Amino acid sequence: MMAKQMKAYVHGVGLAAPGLPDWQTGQAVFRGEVSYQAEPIVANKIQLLPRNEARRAGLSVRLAFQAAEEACVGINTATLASVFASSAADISIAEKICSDLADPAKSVSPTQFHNSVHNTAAGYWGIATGCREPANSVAGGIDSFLVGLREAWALLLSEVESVLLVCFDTEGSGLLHAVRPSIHASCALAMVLSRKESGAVACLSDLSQTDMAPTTFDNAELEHFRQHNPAARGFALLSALAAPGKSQVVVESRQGSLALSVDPLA
Amino acid sequence: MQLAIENYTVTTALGLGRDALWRGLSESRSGLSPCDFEHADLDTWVGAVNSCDGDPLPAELEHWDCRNNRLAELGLQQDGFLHCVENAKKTYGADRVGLFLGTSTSGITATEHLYRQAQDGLEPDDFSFECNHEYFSVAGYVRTRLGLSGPAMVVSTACSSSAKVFASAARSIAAGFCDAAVVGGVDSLCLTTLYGFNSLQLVAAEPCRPSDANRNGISIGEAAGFALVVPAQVSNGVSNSGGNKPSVMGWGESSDAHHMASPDPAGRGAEAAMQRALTMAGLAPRAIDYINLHGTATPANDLAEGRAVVNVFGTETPASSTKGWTGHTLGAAGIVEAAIGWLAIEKNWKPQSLNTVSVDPEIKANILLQPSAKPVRHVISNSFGFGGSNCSLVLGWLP
Repeated sequence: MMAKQMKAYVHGVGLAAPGLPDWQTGQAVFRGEVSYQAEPIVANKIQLLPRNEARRAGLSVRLAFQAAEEACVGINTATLASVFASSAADISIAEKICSDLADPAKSVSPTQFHNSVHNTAAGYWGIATGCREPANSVAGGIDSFLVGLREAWALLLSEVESVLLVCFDTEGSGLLHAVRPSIHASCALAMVLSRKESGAVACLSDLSQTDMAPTTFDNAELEHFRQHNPAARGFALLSALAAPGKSQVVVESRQGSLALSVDPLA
Repeated sequence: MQLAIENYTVTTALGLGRDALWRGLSESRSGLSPCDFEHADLDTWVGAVNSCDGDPLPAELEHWDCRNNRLAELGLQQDGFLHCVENAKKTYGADRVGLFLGTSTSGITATEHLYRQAQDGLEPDDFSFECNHEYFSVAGYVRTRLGLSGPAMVVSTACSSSAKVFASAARSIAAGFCDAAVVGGVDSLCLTTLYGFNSLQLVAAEPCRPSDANRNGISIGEAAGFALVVPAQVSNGVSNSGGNKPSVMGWGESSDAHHMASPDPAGRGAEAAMQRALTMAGLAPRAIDYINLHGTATPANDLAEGRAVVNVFGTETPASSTKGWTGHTLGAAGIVEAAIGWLAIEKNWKPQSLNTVSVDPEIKANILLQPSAKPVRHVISNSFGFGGSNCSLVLGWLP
């Protein structure tokens, strides 16, 4: 049995990355209308969370929210299932906790501890939207985008009508950054996928495993970004969403790359 | 989709493999002991798998070495599981067997060690971010060890992780991404969770007492558990030993939308998870013979879960938490307690709430204080986690 066929409609896209602070800018960059300038991303204050929670949220949660909020404009989030994908979730908190634990006092902040779980972004998203639908939080190393996309796709096929997919990975700092030299920058992207066509901006179909070469960028900086941040592996798909016509994208993965057709709707 | 369990194994503080688990349960013998975990100075009890300190990984895989992957390796070696996976690879092809593992902290003990080395002015030795720290490390190790090349993912939703893997595996099979799957969970003791839960004042100084009027927190445990699953319709329904096969009849996932570290006191998310699992299994609440509670023994969890259970099942259905035996194995709790559910069905035996002396009068569910040897056809197992992540599994026999 091979992958079942389905059309998944894209209802919203969100982006938060250096030089790609929102989807509008992202579209212009991916279309080649403006050149890519890797200006640092400043994460917005989270509008949807109570002030205390918003203040405690780390960079990974703030970037994930920024992309998710943009993707969900005009969409009822109170009944929307979600998949959050990240290789390392809040790496800065892991860094702080491990550093504190190396100190003889071993004094760990309770807030940082509960925010250290991989599903912190998913948990805060539920609190912010009041949504009690299933939320998953998945990891696949450098292939986390593909793992998240596959989970969202499988949910759409058999369990839910619409799903929010959010992928994020942050650079971190300190020793954990030193031992992970391959990570590039911090990045989040989000998509609302649905089986419902009405109101969609694009249609995804023909998802299949492939031996074809992955879709890459001519721009060296964007290509470096794509290769070195798990969330940025999704740039190839976003670029096809920004394109004027139908195209085929190959999302790179060590688990076997996935090909899919991307058809922007007028 | 109903999942047939072709084989399963769990390694907990009660010992290696599922017979050790069953012996501990049937003898009412707790696996908890005073915490002597390296570098930990806490007045608490833990459910440690002592033998995972010992055997290193196979030489060609030593770059994956960390406590969590050692525990995974130890778990894989029990109950003929490796052999069973080899058979599945022959039947379906290694690229059609998926891998879905839950963990909350993966190999963070290696990262803790790295920071102690740095504190002592030492250069990091053989640390690998990908093979030790990353959440996917445990799946990367198990995938390589088993020679699987199908889709692989880690689910990390804190303490519901290795219940949710059954749902992810089932929908991946339904989507045609794979034909069979190895699912499971591995979480190992580490300072991060010991001191982290301690900072939240959620760790008990004594062995945990779920649902007790005087309960005062969790005992942290570690465990590795795995199951090989296929769709019920392709399984022949007969296990290697000639008996029936266990199954996952339905699952229910939900979110609390309440708080990062404490459950919705009204238990609405928990209730939704149980209702959805029953609906998918096509069972009425009265068809459930035993409820394996999440039952962490924190004041807030047991009270909220008790409310949710009563809302769904009323006050008669026998229920207990088994964390007094194994401790709270966090990201491995889902698979450990699914295994306990299958054992309850196989042995027609319901475990009591070990260490519980007098049930909190606010908890109206039927908490078992003695084991019960009555027929068990269907079990529901609850796993709830930080971030308000809930998952319930309905377990039974294949028809």
